Amino acid sequence: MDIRASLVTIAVMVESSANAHASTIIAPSTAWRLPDLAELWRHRDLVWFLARRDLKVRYQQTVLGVAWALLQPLALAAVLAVCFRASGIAPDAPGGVPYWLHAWAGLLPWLVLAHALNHGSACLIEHQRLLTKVYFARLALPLASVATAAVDLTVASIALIIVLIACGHPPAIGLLLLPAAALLALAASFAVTVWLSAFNALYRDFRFAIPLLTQAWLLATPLAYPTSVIPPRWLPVYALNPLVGVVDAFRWCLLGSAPALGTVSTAILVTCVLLVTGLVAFRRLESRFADAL
Amino acid sequence: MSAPAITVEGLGKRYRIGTQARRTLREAVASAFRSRPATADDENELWALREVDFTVAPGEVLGVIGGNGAGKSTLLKILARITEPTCGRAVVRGRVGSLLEVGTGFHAELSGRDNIGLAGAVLGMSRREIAESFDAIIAFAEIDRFLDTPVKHYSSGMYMRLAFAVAAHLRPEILLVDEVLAVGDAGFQRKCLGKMAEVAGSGRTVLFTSHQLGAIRQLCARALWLDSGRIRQIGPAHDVVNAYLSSAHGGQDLGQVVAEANARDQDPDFRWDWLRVEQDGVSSAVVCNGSPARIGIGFTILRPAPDLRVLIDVLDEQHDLVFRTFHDDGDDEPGRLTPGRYRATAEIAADTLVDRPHWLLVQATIHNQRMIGRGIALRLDVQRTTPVNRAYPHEPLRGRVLGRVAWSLAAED
Repeated sequence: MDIRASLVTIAVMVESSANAHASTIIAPSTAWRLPDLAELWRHRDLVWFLARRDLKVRYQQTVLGVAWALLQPLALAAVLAVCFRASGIAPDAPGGVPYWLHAWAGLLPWLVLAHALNHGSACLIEHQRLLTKVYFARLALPLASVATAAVDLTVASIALIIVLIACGHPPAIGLLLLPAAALLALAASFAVTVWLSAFNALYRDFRFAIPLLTQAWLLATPLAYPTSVIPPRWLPVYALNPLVGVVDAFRWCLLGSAPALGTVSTAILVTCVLLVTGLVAFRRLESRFADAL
Repeated sequence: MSAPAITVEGLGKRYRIGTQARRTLREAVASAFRSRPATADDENELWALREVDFTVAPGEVLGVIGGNGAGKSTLLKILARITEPTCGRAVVRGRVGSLLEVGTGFHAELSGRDNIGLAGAVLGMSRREIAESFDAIIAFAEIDRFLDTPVKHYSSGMYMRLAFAVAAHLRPEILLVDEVLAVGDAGFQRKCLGKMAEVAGSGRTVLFTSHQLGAIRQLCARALWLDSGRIRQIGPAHDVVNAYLSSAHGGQDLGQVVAEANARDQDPDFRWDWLRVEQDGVSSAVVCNGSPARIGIGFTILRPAPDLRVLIDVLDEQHDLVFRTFHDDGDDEPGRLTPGRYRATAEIAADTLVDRPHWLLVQATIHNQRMIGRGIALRLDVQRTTPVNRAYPHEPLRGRVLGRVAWSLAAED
C-alpha cells in the first residue's frame, strides 16, 4: 500500500486549480477553509524526501534495521499471547485461528496509529527549524510521517501473510480488500496526526496528554480480544473508536473473520469526519506555527 | 511596463511579547468564545513591521538594510509566507525561493548526496530539478570526495559550501535572501557574493538583507531602509546606504557617542567634538582592507596642555590589542597644544587589517599623568578586498594583522 496512490486521488480532485505559480496574495487569513491540496501536490517530492529520510535515519544506525518493522508487532503479539491467552483471560479467537495470529493481525493497524500518536504528533515540533525558516505546504510533514508508517505496515503485512500461509491459514479472497483496509488505517492515522501535531505545536499541554491518550486508546481497541466480546448494545458506542472498524477490517481480510460491516462503516464515517475537520483546523492554525514554535 | 514582481501595501506584523507569546490552552479556549476585539497598543505588543508599502519591479535587486530588530527578517518571512501579516497585503508574482538560513533541511545523519535531495526539496525544487542541478551543486560545493559521507563528519566549511550550493541552484523567479553571507570564511563569502551577483544579473528578482553594506552597494540598484518596522527611506542603494551610515554608525550614532563620552568624562582640559570613520570619502562602519581607512577626530583643548596625546587602540573581536597608534608617533619631541579646536586624521594603510570585526578605541592621554576619561569605542567591520592569497581564496587570513612581506622565489640552477 502506497501513500502516493492516495495523493494521486487528491491531485485528480484539484487538477483544475493546478496552475502553479501565477500570483500569490499574502494577507491575514480569516475564513475557515480546506488546506490548499494543489500546493501539497506540488510539494509531493518533499513528502517523498522527508519520508525517505525518516526511514533511512531510523534504520541506518540500528543493527536489526528494517526487521524492527516485523519485530514490533510480533513481540507485542507474544506479550498479549502470554498475558491474556496463557492465563485464560481472553476467549478463543474466532474461526479456529491461533490466538497469536489473531492478535498480530490486529496489531498491524494499531502500530500505524501508535506511530501517529508517538511520532506524528511531534512532527511539527521536530521540524521547528524548517517551519521557521522556509515555506512549504505544512501538511507535507504529517503526510511524510504517515508515509513512513505505511512502509512499516507494508513490510509487516507481507510478513504476516507469509506466516499465515506457513501456518496453514492462507488468507481467502478477502485479501484483495486489504489495501482498502490499509488505506482506512492510514487515513485515520493521518487525521490523528493532523489534529495532534497542530495542537501540539501551539499548546504544549498536549505533550502530557498524548501518552495518556495512547494508553486509553490501546485498551479501547480490540487487540487482546475479539470485538465479539463487546455486548451488542454497547457496540455502536464502542465502534466510534475508528480503530475498532479498522482492526475488524484487517482480521476480515487476513483471517477471514466474519464481515463486520457495522463497525467498518462507522470507522469510515468517523475517519472522514476526523479528517475533514482536522484539515480545516490545521489550515486555520498553520499560520501561527512559525510564530509559536 | 510589466506588473511589479512584488507589491506590498500597508503591511504590518504584530507580535505578542513576554509571557503572552505562548498562550496556554485555557486562555485559548476562553478567547475562542469571545470575538477578537481590535486591540489598542499595549506594552505586551510589538509591531515588528508597520505600514510598509513598496513595489519591486521584475528583475530588480532590492537590498533591505536597518539595525537589529528593524523588521528586515520579519519582512522576508512574510514575503516567503513563513509567517502571516497582521494587516495589509502583499502580492507576489512568480515562484518564490527563500534562503533565510544556510543549511535549512539538512540532516546530520544523512550523506551529502541525500542531503542535496532533501534540502533541495525543502527549498521547493522538484526531483527532476535536483537531478539536473546535481553535478553543478557538487562542483560548486567542492565536496565530490565526501559525497557519501554523513554531513555530521563534514567540516563547518564544507557544510556551509554544500548548503549554499543547493540554495544557489534554486531557480525561482523571486529570491529572498536573509543574511546568509554573514557565515563562513572570507573565501566562502566572496564565492557566495559572486553567485549572488550572477543571480542578480540573470534577470531574477532578488530581495536581499545584509549587515554588509558593501555587499548591498555592490549588488543592489535600490535599497530599502527599515527603522523600527517602518520604511525610513527607499531609493538608489548608494544614497540609502550613505544616509543609513551617517545616521547610524553600524547601530552607533557617532554624534551621540561623542556627547555621551563628554558627559561621562568631564575634563577641565579636553573635550571631544566629533568623530568620523570613512573610506573613499564615504562615512562607514564597514571598511574594506583594499583601500585606506581614515579616522577623523575633532577635539578642543581648553587649557594649555603639554604632553597631550590622542591615540587609537585597534582591538580585535576578543578585545585584544592589535596595535596602538599615537597622533605624534612621527614627532621627535613632546608637543605642547595651545587652547583651541583641532582636527586629527589617522590613515590606516589599506592592507593592515584582517577581514574580521574590530573595535576602535579612541582615547586621549596626558603623558605620565592621566588618561582623559575612558575614551570612545567604535565598531569597525573589515571586509577583504585586498588581493592577498588569491591562489587559495578559501583560506581565511590568519593572524591579527596582514604582514606586508615582500616575497621572492626563484629557481636555483
